[in-house]
Amino acid sequence: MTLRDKTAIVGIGMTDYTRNSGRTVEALALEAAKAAVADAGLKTADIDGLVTYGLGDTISTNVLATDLGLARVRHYADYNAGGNMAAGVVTHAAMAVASGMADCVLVYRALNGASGMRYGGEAFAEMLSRTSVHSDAEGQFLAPLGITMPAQEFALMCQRHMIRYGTTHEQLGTVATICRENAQANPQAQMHGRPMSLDDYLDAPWIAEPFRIYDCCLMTDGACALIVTGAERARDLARAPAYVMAGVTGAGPANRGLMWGNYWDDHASSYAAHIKDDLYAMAGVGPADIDLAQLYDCFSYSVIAQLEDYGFCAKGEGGPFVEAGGIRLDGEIPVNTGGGLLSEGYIHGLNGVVELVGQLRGDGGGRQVAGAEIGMATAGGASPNGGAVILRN
Amino acid sequence: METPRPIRPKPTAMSQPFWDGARVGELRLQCCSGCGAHRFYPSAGCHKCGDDGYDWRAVPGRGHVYTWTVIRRALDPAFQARVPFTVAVVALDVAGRPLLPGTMLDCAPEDLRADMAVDIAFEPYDDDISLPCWRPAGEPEEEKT
Repeated sequence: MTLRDKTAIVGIGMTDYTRNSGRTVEALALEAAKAAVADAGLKTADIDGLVTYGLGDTISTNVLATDLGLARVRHYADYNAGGNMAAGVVTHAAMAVASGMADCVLVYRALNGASGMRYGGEAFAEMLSRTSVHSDAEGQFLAPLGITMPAQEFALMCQRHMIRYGTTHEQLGTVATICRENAQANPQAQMHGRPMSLDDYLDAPWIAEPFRIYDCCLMTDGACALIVTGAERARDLARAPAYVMAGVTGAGPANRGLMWGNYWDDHASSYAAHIKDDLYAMAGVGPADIDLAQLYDCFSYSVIAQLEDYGFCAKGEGGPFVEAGGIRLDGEIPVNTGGGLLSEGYIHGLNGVVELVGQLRGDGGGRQVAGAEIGMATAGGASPNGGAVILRN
Repeated sequence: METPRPIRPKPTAMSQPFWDGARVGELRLQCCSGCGAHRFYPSAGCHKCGDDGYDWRAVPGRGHVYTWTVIRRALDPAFQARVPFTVAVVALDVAGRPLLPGTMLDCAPEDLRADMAVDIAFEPYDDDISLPCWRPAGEPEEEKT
């Protein structure tokens, strides 16, 4: 029994990605959901499962199911989780469909991440302590030192990578500028029309060294959604299916910690090192077969860690690999073709899956990867827990 | 205007012995009954062997810098008033090599090095709470600026 090729993503939808939607998260979720249903050529009533995730800032499946007027929900899941579940929700939907729990599962993420609760702000700290997404330890041992923002926690990991492997600021900046370049061909991107050079990057203010402001992802109001159904049904729908070859959500040892984990044995490596063997085995492919990758880029450094740990280059070689153009649209493994979280928008990683589906359909326009047949979308910054899916057309 | 204060740690039943030690300038850590590893943060089970038995032990507050960040922008006004400042995560020189984050004192960001030897200090927050800090090893108190 394997998940491979049993299901497919058949519809995608999104709202505009903005700094101030002026709308409720509920309204954003509904717009993206209806767009995904229409894109698939399905009827709303066909949806019988819903999955979402968030840190207290998405809208519950019961609200969206009600707004959609669904007569019956056969399966749902609301994950209290960060971006390391962005691929896991797709895997969950595929598991639900493959096991007969539901026929058409709507996966979505909606948030007012710019105009509502900002990650790293007071409301965020309060939410984390209230919901125990973190343990009580972060509030006791990090926050009183001033470590309250994701950028600071990931900065500690990035610095460790720099210590061990000599990763440079210019290499981080190259990740950021390549994402920005890709966003110029993506009208959906918040940074569309705002190109950035490496000098622009280096001249920008520090947030938490080694991160400058453009090492950090955007804050975004918006929503995106996708629909997973069985492979057979997928063939009769409006759009070419993106088949789910593999999906893994997993972790390495001592993975306690949503961001900085004080117990990990190696802060210069990521979850990817621990899940990649299962992932590739399920898909029946290896890194050399992957035509493009949407690597979860909450921070520029996250791309470097994942390039190494998914085997796109040797451990410690992520920086030089990026610098040599390895992740450009015409490089060895095009990465974050729509601009990623750094330049398209922060829909908490699910927008990477949506971008991947568009690429596999050949809808990438000026950012289309030629001959894209198999792609990966990942979830997890550089921490030891996260996941990924591999899709094919 | 009164300077805003940083977040005050809220000790728990699990962590209270650490804070009791910090108040009197002593570093106290859990030591696993199963494998002998010390650990931090305080936790219910040992992340190295899974054993749930432990006792609290006073250990030397000496370690080496594992990683750090220089914070130059903070959302919390209490910390924005302090920027730039450095938080160092230090690998302690005890069995299990646990990591312990603390504010780096008496060391300019450009002087900080990986694997630099540092000693712990506890800076009083109020009568009950003192926060762990790090100083370059071997520098006498009176020489600090």
